[in-house]
Amino acid sequence: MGLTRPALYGARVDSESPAADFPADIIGLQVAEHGPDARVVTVRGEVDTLTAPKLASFLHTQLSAARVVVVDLDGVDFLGSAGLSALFEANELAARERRALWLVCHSRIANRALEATELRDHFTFADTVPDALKNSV
Amino acid sequence: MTYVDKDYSASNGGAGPEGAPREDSALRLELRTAASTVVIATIRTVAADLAARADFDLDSIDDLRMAVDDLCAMLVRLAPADATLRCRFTAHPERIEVAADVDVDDDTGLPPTRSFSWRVLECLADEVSAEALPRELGQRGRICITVAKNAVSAQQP
Amino acid sequence: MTPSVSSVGTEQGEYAHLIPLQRQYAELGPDDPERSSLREQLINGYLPVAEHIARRFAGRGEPLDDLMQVATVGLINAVDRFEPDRGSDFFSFAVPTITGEVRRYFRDHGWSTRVPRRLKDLHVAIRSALAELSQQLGRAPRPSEIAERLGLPVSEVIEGLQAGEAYRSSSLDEMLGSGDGKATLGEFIGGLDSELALIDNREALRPLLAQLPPRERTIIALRFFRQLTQTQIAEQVGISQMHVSRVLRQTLAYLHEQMAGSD
Repeated sequence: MGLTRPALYGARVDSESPAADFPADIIGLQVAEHGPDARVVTVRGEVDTLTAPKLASFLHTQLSAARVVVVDLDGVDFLGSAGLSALFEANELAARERRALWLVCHSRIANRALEATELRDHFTFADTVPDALKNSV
Repeated sequence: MTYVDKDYSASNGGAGPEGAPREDSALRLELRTAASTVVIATIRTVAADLAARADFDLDSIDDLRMAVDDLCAMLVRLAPADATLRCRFTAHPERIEVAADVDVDDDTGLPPTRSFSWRVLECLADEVSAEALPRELGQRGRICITVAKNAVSAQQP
Repeated sequence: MTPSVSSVGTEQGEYAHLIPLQRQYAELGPDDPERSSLREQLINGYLPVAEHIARRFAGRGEPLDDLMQVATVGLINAVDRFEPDRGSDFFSFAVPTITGEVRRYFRDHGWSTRVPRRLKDLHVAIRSALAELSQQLGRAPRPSEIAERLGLPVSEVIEGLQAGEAYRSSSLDEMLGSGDGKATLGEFIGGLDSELALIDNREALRPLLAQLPPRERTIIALRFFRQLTQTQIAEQVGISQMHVSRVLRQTLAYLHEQMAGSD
């Protein structure tokens, strides 16, 4: 979101699969584009060794395409070591490539995972997705 | 998945690296499953349930759930295709020990302690260790990871 | 894996006329008489965006009309909260706001239909005890401590914990509720009429709401138009969270019944 305001571009919302954000699935990943520069990734469900590779490649794709990536973890029911690793690596990638990676997280379980493993301080948090987008302008 | 809730320590390997004397008040539970990632969610749920029933604080319940997930994942990565994963839970008052092991091929070493997963495990549990169990005649080797978790987690600074 | 790709507002001209209105709206003082008409124009103008998002979620077990209402509430929030001089454009702000609203609806509604009433109440009670006890103890409470606080058997607390989201200190709805604690109760209620003006079946709903006792009306307004949590409402109104839950349930059942009767 540079200084030159783009004309009204389309705000696209892509689902990884049509049912990806519903409870029957172990993990739900969804991305919404906010202009050419920002993407919001919504993660739901259980991020464990089975599902973390999906998250890792998903985040990688978003970070190579957008300058600002917001990861909304509010719907996360489990965040294991593999999931933490995926987030951590995405964060490292963002730092190397000078991208902004924001986490939005009000899931008790995900917050506990980040705290207990002392990884919390590595990440940048925003209270809400709109806050993260606003702060990235 | 097989549940064995009787005393298991006589048949295989002993109660843990320290060979702690058994207390009568301890509750024991053993799970045996194929060493596959798909069963891990069930095992960690069992661990969390056990911790809740042992009146662990909610953070410690979560920590144990994550620790068991992590150690099972590490073992499954080491295991050959047809291996069995065995998890033995011992709930003492205020403390749960989990000893999990898998069959491994002869050249398999212990999980690397410098890995991300191991570091996470150390943060989550109060004690962590890995050992190669002595190979019994005609059997494959086994690698065992043991963690202990106390009922109350110290508050993060 | 069929990616469902869709677009909103790719026709540049479609919303261009709203941009100056947006700026004007943001610059008006809160008491400006022009405000409510501008707001209505903006909301009506952007309504296709809300509709588009609602349609994306259609066919998943919730009536489109309900989704439209929920998306419209999200749009209203977006219109009210957007700050054009922050440099981003309206869509960047509105799409996550509206989508979040619809997703939250699915989650709350899904939860309420899947889980028995008793467990849901238990879950709410546990969540509030958890927050209080964590603060008092300086650590997370044990199930027995929650049980003692609530006067329930430990086994029930464990059941409640396992029922799902109780492990979360703050679910999405709480997050949104924390957005603006500055408005007064009067403002909430004052906003109600104009917000209701956008709901499809307003003609039927408005007189019903007007007939509600003031406390019920307030609670409905706080919950559905300000998205406060039951805990926050309990604090504002000065009754227990369980009580808020009961009032909401009874009032909604009453409204639904009356609406059905008026068709």
